Amino acid sequence: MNFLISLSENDKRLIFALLLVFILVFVLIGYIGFLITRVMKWQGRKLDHIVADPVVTRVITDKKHFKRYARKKNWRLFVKQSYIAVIILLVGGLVLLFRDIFTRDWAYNVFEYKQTGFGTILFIWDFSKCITRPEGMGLVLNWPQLINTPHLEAQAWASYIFVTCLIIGGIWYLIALQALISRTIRMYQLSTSAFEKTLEGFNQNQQAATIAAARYQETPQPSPVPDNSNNNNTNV
Amino acid sequence: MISFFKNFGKGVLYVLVLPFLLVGMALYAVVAFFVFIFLSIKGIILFFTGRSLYEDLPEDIEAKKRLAPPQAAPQTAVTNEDVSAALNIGSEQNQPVNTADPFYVPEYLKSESEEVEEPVQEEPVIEESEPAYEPDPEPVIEEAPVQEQEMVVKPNYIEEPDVEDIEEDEIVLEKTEQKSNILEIKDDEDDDDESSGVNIDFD
Repeated sequence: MNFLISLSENDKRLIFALLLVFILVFVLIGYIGFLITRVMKWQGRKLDHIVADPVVTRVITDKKHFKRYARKKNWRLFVKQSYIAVIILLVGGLVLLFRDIFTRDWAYNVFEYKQTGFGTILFIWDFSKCITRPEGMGLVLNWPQLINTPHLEAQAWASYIFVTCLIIGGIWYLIALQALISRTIRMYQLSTSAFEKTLEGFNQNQQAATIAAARYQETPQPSPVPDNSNNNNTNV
Repeated sequence: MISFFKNFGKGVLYVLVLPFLLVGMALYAVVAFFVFIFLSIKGIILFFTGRSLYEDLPEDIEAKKRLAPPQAAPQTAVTNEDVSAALNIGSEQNQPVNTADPFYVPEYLKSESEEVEEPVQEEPVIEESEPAYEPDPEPVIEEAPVQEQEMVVKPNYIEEPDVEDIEEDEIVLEKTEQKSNILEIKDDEDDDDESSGVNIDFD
């Protein structure tokens, strides 16, 4: 069976536009990934600063010792970077806990949008009625209906504090976590590169020739006899 | 254009790998949270024992020892007093200043740095075969006793007796003949001359 698809000019334009958007979205994701990779490399450089002294002074001379030492320093730095984030998260959690204890409302929805939740200060759209199928017609696309506009509610104070702390602390903690992962990757890279014995670009014959040349230069040479034959004394 | 499609390929790859990355990151986050709790408890315990979670590891201490300069003397600012002390009395203080050495510390400033590390002073060993050097005793100068003598002062003038003790008879002036070049006029000669006194006699 042969299916002939006849596309109108508008259909071709629509397909071309969708393809272009598809490509652009993936290119954008590629750029975002590239940016994240650069940031992670920059975060991983911090490990070099931490572990440089014992490696340079040859206190650490093998791969295993380096990994053990770098892991300890890495976790300590993670604790140092993330303890404020954890404190913020704990404060938000404690606020929500006390609110639930005092109101005895254990079924409290933090993201409720009518009266008591954080959704009261957000724009809320109802996407459930975007696509309708009336009788005798195909699919009909409608704009989503706006069901809430931002407004403050006194009953939702706990959700405001909790969600704010959750966002700030969560992002802070994720950044510290990303730095931890970056340093861990860098640790494995350095453990192979810093103690690597490679013969890449090494030529023993070339090295022997270099040593011989160096020894020849170190041996005392006879002092050259001054040659006055070319002195054309014009002041006669 | 090639880089554009490379980015497109990377974007596709990231989208495909993203779920696994997210799962791995979530697991790492949970593990990191438990490690955080463990290290926090450890840090609290260390705090009450007078230590810190972030104190140097043995490797750090050893590295600092090796990186420290051999003579880590604190460089003090040179004041006018130091300069004057260096130029004044004392042979030890008049040593040449080594300007080429950045860690040079003059001898007269080393006393402060030596206070930190006091070297153990060993007792000097005196060998019995060679007696210790003893300086010669200084000769004692005996002072001769001063003999008491009466001071006799001879005056430079002739003493004259007191006026009361001299009798009147004794006051006799000695006659002395005085010769003078002035023509003397004898009384017994030419008494009758009543002239002007000029002798016009011719011998």
